[in-house]
Amino acid sequence: MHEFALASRIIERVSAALGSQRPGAKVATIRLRVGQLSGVEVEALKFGLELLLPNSRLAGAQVAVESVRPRLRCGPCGRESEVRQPPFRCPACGSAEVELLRGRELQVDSVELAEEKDECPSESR
Amino acid sequence: MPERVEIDESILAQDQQEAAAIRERLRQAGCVAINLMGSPGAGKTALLERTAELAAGRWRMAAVQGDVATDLDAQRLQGRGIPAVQVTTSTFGGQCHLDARMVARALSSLDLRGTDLLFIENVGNLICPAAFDLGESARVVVLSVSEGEEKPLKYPAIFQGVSAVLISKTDLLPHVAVSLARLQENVRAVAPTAQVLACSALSGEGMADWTGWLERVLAQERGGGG
Repeated sequence: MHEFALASRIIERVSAALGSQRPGAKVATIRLRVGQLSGVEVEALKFGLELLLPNSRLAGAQVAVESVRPRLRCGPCGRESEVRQPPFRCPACGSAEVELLRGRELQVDSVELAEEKDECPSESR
Repeated sequence: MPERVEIDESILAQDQQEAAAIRERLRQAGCVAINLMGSPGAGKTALLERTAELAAGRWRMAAVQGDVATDLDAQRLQGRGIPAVQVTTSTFGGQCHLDARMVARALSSLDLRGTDLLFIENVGNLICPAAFDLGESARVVVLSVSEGEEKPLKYPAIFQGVSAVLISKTDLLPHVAVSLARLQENVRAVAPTAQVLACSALSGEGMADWTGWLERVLAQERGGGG
């Protein structure tokens, strides 16, 4: 259960990135990429964020998580494939000499900003 | 269309910076660190005690011991003459793993220049330590035979990117319904590039393979990247 620690790091990372790029902007959605071999339980991570977000600069933001399935490259035959669960073998030639290309990431991908409401639309003239 | 701000940054970016700082600090001190991971009760501390006996006169070791509570492990190693610092994560909210910040703090209490091999014994846990870089040169999973044959398949994340998997407590093999061959095969199925070793800290069987592997890592790290 280290998802709570990760949730607070996500808020720090996003807040720092926005602070330099878009201070004051309101965030609608935080987009994350989480590898299925990262050791992170996505539901627990979302729960941690639900608890921490309201008291942060990112209050009101939704969280969207893309779960990244492990992708292997086979050493002997060079074929790339996605796997659902261990053992990790090349489905084409059966070799266990495989390199993990994807599946361990813990990444803040991007944020979508809330559309800014025009405060006084009728007085624009 | 809502405006999108690309961030594309690791959630653990800060941790990675702190780990990189540790790696540089250790490199300058000529100290090689091993992140020792495994379940609670896998035999990590017993392995270090036995390793210290075999290391005497060959290389100098020290240890950072991670646990949720108590300094029992550090005391155990200090009793054997091994410089050891305890990190208890309960003061950090009972965390299930060590992170680079905790390790950096612990290193201040050790004489790194007087240390060849530094063992960082992670909190006993087969899930959470996987994500956290501690500035180590190599990661090792200690897996005891009594944990069963299928643990590598059920907990694959911790085995990713490890340099070695050490199957421990082989003296128990006659008493448990576990085939060493099948356990080794399952380790290879999730960690195809890892060195697979087997030993018993109690009987001493296989310990020479383990210390031999440690010496190769030490030589590589010192000869290699400088």
